[in-house]
Amino acid sequence: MKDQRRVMLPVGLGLCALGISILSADFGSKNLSARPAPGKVDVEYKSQESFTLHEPVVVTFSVRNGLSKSITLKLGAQYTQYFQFSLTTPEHQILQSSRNPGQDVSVVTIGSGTVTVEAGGKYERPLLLSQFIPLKTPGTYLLTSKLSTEIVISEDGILSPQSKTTQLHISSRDPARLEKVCEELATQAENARTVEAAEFPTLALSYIDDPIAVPFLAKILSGHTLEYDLAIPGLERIGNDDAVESLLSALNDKYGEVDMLARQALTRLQDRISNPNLKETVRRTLSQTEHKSSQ
Amino acid sequence: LKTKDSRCENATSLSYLFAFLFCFSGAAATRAQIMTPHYIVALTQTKDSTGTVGTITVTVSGYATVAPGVPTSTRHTPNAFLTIDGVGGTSYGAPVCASCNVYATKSVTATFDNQTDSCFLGGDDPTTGCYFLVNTNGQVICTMAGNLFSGGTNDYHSITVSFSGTPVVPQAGSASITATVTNNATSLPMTLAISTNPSITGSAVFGNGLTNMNIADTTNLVVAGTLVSSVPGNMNIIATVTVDSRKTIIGRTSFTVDYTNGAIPVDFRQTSATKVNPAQLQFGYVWSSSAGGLSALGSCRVREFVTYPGYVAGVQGRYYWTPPYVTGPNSYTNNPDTANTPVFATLGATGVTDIQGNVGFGLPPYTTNMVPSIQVFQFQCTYYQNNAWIQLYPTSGTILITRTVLNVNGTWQYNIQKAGLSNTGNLP
Repeated sequence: MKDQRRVMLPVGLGLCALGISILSADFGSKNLSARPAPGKVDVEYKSQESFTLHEPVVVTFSVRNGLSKSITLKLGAQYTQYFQFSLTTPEHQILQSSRNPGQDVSVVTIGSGTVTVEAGGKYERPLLLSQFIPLKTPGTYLLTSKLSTEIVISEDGILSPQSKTTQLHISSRDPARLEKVCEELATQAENARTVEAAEFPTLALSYIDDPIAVPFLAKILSGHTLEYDLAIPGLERIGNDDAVESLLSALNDKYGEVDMLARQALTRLQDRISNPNLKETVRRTLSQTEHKSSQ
Repeated sequence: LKTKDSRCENATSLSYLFAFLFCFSGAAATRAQIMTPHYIVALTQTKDSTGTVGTITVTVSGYATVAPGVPTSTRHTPNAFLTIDGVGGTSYGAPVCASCNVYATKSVTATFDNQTDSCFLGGDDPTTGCYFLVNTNGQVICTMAGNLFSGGTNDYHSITVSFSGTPVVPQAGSASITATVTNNATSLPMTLAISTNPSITGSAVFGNGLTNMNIADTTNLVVAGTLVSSVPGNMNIIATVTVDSRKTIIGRTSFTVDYTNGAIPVDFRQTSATKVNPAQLQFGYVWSSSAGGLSALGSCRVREFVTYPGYVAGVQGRYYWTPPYVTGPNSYTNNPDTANTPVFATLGATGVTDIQGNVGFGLPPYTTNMVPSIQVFQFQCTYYQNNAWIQLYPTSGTILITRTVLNVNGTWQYNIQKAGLSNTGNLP
C-alpha cells in the first residue's frame, strides 16, 4: 500500500498562540500551503516557553518544504513512532524517550506511516510531550527533539532532519490554571463529533497527572464521550482515592470495554492505593468481578 | 490409499481411514551420503455422525538413516502444515536426534455439506472434477542439512475464492463484500448462494435481488439485508463450482443481518503482502463503509487484536520473550496487543499497514524457539451493539502468525509466517 497522506486543510495552527490557547487549538495534523524559504527544507519543533506543572506540554513539529519537489516524511505508527525526545532536568539528569522493543513486534501504521509535503507546502503535527517523557517537577528543562528518520526528496535524495533544543520553563502547579485547561480539553472532547476530533484533547487531558483532572476524566468516561477509553489510563496514572472511586464505578458500566478496562486498571494500581479501606474495597470488588467473569 | 513413492514400505501399515499417504526417501539428494530420510506425510479424515463436521489431520513421521560422522548434536525438527479454506497453519514437533523418529501433527475441523463435499470426504479421483480445499505439507528441518524433507499436497486446489471481512449487513441497508477468485484459468463459472439454516430466521439478497448469482473473476458483491438474523453469523454465502454434474463447495463466508443504527465498516480486505528485510512481513488492509462513504464512520474505530501464548480473556497481560530473543524487564509485548490501534475508521481508503517483526535477539548461544500468535481485526461504532468490539476480519477464525528460530545447516535463522507468506533471516 503506497498511499501517503496528503491533507490540505485550511487555516494554520497559530503557533504563537500555543500558550493559553492550547485550550482552543485545533490539534489535528496539517499539511498547509505556506511560503517556506526557497531551496531548503525547514524542520521546526515549537512550543510555548512556559508551562505550569502538570499542564500538557505540546510541541508542534513542522516541516516547510522550500524545494521544487515534494518530500516524504516517515513518521511511523500514529505519526509519532520515529520522534525522539531528550530532556535535561533541572537536576541535570538526562531523560530519553524510548520504546519498549516489544512494541515493535507488531506495528500498525496509518496508511504507510508516511506524509508527503508538496513543493512549497508545510506540514504540522502537535506532539504531546508527556506521552514520551513526563515532567514531574518545576524548573527549567532543556528539550531536544528529533525525527529519527530521513526525509526523502522525490525519490532522488535524502535529508537528515536536524534536531532542535529548546528551553522549557515549568513553573509551580497552578490549580486554577489546571482546572481551566482541564475544562477546555474536556469540552473539546465532549463537543467532538468524530473520534478523530476527540482524540487529541482526550489524550492531553488523560496525561494531566494531577488530581484536578479526575472529575473531568470521570465525566469523559461515564458520559461515553468519543475516545472515552483514554480516560481510564489517565485515572490509573493519577491513582488517588477519587480516581480509584471512578474506576470502581466504571466496573458497572457495560458500554464498550469500560468494565474490563477499569478492572485491568484497578488490578495494576491496587498496590499503590494508600487508603487501607479503599484498598480493601478494591481487593474485594476485584475478587468478586473476577469470580463473576469466570462463571 | 495413495503412495507416491514405492520406497516407502511402511506406509501401508498405517491404519488411517481415508488416508492419503505421501512417502519420501532420499529427498535431500545432495546429502544422501550423509543422511537418508524416510519420512511419511499422512492425511486422514474423519467425520461426525451427522456427516457435516469433519476433522482432517496431517501427520509427518519417520526417521533418517545417518552415516557415521554426523555430529550427535544434530537435531531434526518436523512440522506439519494444514489449511482448509485457508484456515489452519503449522504445528511443530519436538526436535529429536538425527536418527530418531520425528512426529508432528496438525488437525483442522471443518463443517461441510455432505452432499456437495463428497469428494472432500471420499477422496474421489480429482480428474473427475473434484476441487479440494485442503493444502498440506510435512517438513523436517535438520540443524546440519537444512530442509531435509518436504512433501504434501495441494494439487487439487484448482480454484479458490476468499471473501473480505463483512461481518454485519445492515437490515434495510446494504454492504459490499469482495469475493477474490484465484486460479480460475478456465473462467469456470462459480455460483454464489446466500442461505441460512431453515430453523433460524434472517435473509439477505445480492444486488440483483436474488439469493444466487454467478461470478468467474474477483467481484465486488453487494448484499442487502432483508430480515434480521435471529442468531449472529447465521447467514452464509457459499461458493460452488459444478464440473461433470458434480457440485463442490470451494469457499464460504458468514455474516449477520442486523439493525446497525448507522454506517459500519465493511469489506475489510488485504491489499498487499510483502516481505521486508530484515525478516519482517508487511500487509496492507483497507475497508469501506456500509453507507455514506468513509466520512460516515466518524464514530467508529478499527483495531488489530493480537494474542500470544498465555493470553487470558479479559486480562491485559504481558508476553515476556524468552531466549534467543532479548530478555529482560522491558522485553515484553502486551498480551493482548492492539499495537498502535485503534485507528479512526474514516481512514479506510488510507487503510493500515501491519508490520510483523520481532523483539530482537540476545547474544549467542541461541536456542530453538517457536512462538505462535493469533491476530484478528475488529471494529466498534458508538451506535452499534453498545460500542462493543466486533470481529471484522477474518469474519470467522483467526490469522495465525508464527515466529520460529531454528539452526539450519549450521546457521541460526529466524522465520516468520503469516497468511501464506514467509520470510527468513539469519541471526546476528
